[in-house]
Amino acid sequence: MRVIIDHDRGTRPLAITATLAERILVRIGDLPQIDGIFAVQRLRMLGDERPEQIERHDPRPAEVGLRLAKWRVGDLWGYVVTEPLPVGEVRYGRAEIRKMPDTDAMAELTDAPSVTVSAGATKAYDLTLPTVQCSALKWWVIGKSKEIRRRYLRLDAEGRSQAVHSIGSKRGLGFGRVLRWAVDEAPEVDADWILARRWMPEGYREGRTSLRGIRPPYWHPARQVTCVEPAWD
Amino acid sequence: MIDRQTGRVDLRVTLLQPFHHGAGSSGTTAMLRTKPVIDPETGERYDVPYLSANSVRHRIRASAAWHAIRTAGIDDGSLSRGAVHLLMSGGSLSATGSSVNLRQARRLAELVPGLALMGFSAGNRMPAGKLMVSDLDLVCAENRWRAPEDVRDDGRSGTPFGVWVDDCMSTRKSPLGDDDVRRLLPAAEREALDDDASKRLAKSRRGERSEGDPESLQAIYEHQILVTGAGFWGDIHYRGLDALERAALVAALSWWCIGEHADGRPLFHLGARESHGWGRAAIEFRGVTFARPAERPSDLRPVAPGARPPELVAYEEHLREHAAEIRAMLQEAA
Repeated sequence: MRVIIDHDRGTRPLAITATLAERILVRIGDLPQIDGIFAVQRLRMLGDERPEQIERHDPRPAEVGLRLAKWRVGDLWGYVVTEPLPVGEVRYGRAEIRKMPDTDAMAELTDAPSVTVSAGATKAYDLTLPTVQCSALKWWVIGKSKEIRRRYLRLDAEGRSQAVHSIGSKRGLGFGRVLRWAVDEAPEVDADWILARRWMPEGYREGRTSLRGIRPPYWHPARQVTCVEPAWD
Repeated sequence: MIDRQTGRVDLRVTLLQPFHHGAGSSGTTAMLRTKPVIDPETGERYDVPYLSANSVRHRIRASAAWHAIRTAGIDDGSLSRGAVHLLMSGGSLSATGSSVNLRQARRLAELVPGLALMGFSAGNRMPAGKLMVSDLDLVCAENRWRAPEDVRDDGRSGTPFGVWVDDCMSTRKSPLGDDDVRRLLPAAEREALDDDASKRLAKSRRGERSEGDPESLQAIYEHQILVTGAGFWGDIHYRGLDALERAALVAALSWWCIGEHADGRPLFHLGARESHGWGRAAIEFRGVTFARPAERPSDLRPVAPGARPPELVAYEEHLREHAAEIRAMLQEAA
């Protein structure tokens, strides 16, 4: 299978590290993709206040045009980025999130004789969600360090981001908090090395196949094709 | 163009009373909620007490709701259960189908900026919130590696978390031991109680164990607590807030605030048993608004008692002016 790599002048292999202060709340094997994170920031830069809310029904979700190297296989393309690699010991756990109807407020503000908290719209629940805990997540990309630092992550001198301070789900509840980001040159890797470490369209190499997104928004049905699994060392 | 702000407010908390935020019990002891923290250097795991962001967010959401309800003059008994659930807990999806009612979600967010701030579910739409609250983490040695610079300089950050944890015993005495209370009971019940008490006394004199009468025993229970003086740190990130949403946040924080400490820091109740005086805390707000070329201070903090900043006045006027539409929209969306 013929793969074409497109990249702008000045792009280099880079290693991006997010040192984590909190557990990430995601399905196992579904850790956040770095180009997905950049795409959300890019949409915000373009003035979209709610970029996470791309409609599932939209048959052609917007292309955000990230300034990263791209791979092309036939009609398919994506960015030259690896899957996320957890650093250090990885522990899988769970978090419990409680949502309760405020029955005291209901007693005061409604004239209803009762409220059902075991079923229906006002059901009280303890949601148990899977978490991944590790000291950092690392991705490799081919891109421009300055562009990533200044535009996509908006890093200060200490590596704190003004744009991406949490990753994964339930960020509003403090999960996936990133302590600091680092964007370092990685001359030891190249595009082939990176593509070997991401899901690629079926036929790219031998291996187990699965339906996967190939570029942001990864979750969108229009982005999903049969892919072959990555091969980590 | 709408003036939108993005930024962060750092919170530095000192407990002025014992604190409990529970997660289950062991025997008769209510345990503190903990979360795993793994030291990246040693790989050691610690289960460190904290106050969950879920709890802090609920305080903000409920405070924003109560402020909006009282300001808009919505009468007691006038809302549906769904509308109260939407305001106080974020609501739930109540419709299905592929046609998403954008108009309703947009109008609801405009009318009740507190909902836009926190996010909500209504109809078949779930607009995301704009407020990202962190857990409030204990200032202690196990958390030191992940604490901000100023927290690492705090003298408490070298102390193991166990130093801050204690047990507090409480009792709940049955009122039936009080003769004045017993007189309120029908004579037959009073005599039965006296009879039981006589039997227990006789058993006790014979050295036999008595099963006791659960109604007249003193119940002892314990709470695991963090002691007075413990510190927390955390933050609130906000994104793209317009003037009304900013004012809604200030109004919520001010509603939640219970006064001012001697040093000027606002006081709040955190965690459980606030009616027993627990969880009283002084919180310092240090805000920045992310803006280029330089960050500028954020004014997102509770307003001093009696202060009426123009943004808050405008927000309250908005709520009063649209009170009827707010009530109708809440009922419709829920």
